[in-house]
Amino acid sequence: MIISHIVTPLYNYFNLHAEEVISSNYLNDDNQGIYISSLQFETINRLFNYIKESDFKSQNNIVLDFNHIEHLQPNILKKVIEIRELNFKLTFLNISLNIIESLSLENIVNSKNLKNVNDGFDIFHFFTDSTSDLYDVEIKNYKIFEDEFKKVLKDKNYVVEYDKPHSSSFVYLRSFIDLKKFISNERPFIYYALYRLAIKIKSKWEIQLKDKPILVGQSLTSTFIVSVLSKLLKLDILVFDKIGPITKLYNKLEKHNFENRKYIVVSDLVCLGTEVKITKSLIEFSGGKYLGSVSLVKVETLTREDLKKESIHRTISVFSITDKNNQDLKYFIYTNLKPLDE
Amino acid sequence: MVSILKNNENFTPYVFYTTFLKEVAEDINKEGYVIFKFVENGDDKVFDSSYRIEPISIPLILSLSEQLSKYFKEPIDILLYKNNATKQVLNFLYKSDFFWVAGNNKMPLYPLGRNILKFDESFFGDFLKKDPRPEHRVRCYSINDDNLKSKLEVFGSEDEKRDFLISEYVYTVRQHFQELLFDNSNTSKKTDYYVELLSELITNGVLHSKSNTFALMFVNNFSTKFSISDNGIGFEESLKSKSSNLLYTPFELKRKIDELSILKVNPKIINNLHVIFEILYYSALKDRRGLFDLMISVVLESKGYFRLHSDNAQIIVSNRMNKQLLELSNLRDDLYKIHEDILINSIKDNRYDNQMIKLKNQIMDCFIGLYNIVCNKYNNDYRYSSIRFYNVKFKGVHIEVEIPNA
Repeated sequence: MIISHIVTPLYNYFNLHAEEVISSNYLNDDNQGIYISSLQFETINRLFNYIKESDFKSQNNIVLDFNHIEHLQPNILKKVIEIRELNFKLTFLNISLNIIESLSLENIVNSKNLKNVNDGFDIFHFFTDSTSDLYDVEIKNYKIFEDEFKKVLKDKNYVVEYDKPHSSSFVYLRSFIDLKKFISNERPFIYYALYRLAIKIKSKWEIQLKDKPILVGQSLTSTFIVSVLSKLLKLDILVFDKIGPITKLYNKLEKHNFENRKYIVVSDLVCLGTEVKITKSLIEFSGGKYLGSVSLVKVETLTREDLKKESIHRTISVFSITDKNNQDLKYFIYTNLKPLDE
Repeated sequence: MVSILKNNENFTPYVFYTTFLKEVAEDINKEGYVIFKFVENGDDKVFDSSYRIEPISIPLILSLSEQLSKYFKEPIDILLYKNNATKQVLNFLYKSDFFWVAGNNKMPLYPLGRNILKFDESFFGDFLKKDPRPEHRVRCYSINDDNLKSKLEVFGSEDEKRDFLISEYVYTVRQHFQELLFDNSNTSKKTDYYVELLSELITNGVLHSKSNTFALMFVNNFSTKFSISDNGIGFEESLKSKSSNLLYTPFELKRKIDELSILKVNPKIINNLHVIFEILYYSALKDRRGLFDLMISVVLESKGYFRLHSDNAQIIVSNRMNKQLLELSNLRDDLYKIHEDILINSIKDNRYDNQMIKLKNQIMDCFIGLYNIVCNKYNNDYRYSSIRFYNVKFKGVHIEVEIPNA
């Protein structure tokens, strides 16, 4: 299973750290979560077999993302070269200083490869051709992921329009995003999305994660998300079943001791944040500390200036619906009030 | 009957090689079989005896027991004693899984028993409250475990099999030993590297022995030590299967040092030492990182000790050889860079041939130089020498690595 394969018009993208996380946590019993930083032969070998059997041979660029990889098993370069020998041009992303030597990059002479401020390479073309389609394009892993997420949402009709105005938290929704279906159908891509979410959580709460906060799920879909995140981040989980603008909470909370523990609320989609706020209140009322909330998708109803990055109410997510894409995705929220004629 | 632990003597790998092996060999010659006695004084003198074992000797005992049990085609008897004198050492051995690994356990929650020792289990139980660290356990790795054999079948080349096994063991070793690596400031900075080093050594053992490799890591305030022991075919046999290429002709270094005859030791025993030099030389020429590079980084980067024992000989590589090792390491790096350039730029012609042969000759000279120095020191005073010879042959490859805690 390769989870991070994304096809773009110019290249095929693979995230090696995400694949290594799968090798170590799911195919082997090495429970390091996303904290693993060493790339092993087994992962490269899986990737090699996948590429060998795939049918994108007409497309001859492969982009390998080394983000978060700080160490390579010796002698795996041979396998990387074997991928190249399947007739692909390789481009590497996010090479840290520590792995330049292991990849023997000094042997590739290409003036397009420029070091970044940390003496690593943001992008490294593992070939010496004078021209390439990739020389003039910007390749950023978050952009590749977001574009793919949006494409899947759109092309496979996961944004479903309601027949009549649908009320939720006292606003009307034109459509809803069927994340339950998305999660069920889009495997293994969903694992890559959750991997990215775990990485985002790690970078946002690097220090707090040492105190082992608890991940809180509050619906069936978010329970799935929580279970994967718990493996990737090595955190405990708590499931509230079920809080939402429509259904009520019907599990008892007495058995769990909240005192002085920290919590991260996990949802599939955060629209206006009603469920998150209810869960936050419950946690704080019971004596716990609320760190923040995360979700696969969030709707940004306010501008980023009005909801600052530091704000505790700002949800962390891997995909946002914003004023830039809501029309394209046919997603809209409105109320019954008439606009003022000013 | 041979007692393993002697009164007032710490059972170290050195004791194992020098005294214990000899006693076992003599007993077999005399009796035709062997029975182990756990401690010298048994149930006598229980208030006057004290027994200690250096944890890294455990893989050696297991490895020897395995050889003997294969030879006699049945597990070897070991007589246990539980009394005031033995309770601590018995507690440690039991909790470090020694008896689980050596016995015939089939329960999946505990380590699989390899059926190499036979003992009375009624001695176990009611142990001291004190538990050793959960990571201080002896582990047994085998190609017959976890379906590894069939997983390996898909790989064509030996190198790929090796790379795959290393990566499999990286995941296991990390789970088994990583915690210990955090406890030594020298190893905590490079846990990935040490995890790999162990996996590489275990892979060597498992591939060569085609069966069990025993390993244990132990940390105290002064150093981190690990010990890996297998019963494999040994270096000489595995070198015989190598074919000649541009850089390497099998046994070329050995032939040269065979002629030097500096040491006045039984030629059969010297042969083992020469084979160890040959394997390090072979590994220093290869286009992949291996045993030589491991040794260099243990000694030069971590200022540790690398002790390599095979059959009758042992070499102790330490920073006393710094000068020669540094020179070798630089030559090796230059050669390796050429190997990499050839790989990456798919160079098929012979533009590097002369340069590589020159480097290879320099590496060989350097090894011969090192050999001379080591042997002369041995002739001056064998007690402080970096090489040791033992009269009793102990089959397989046995490696101990010691990294001081900075």
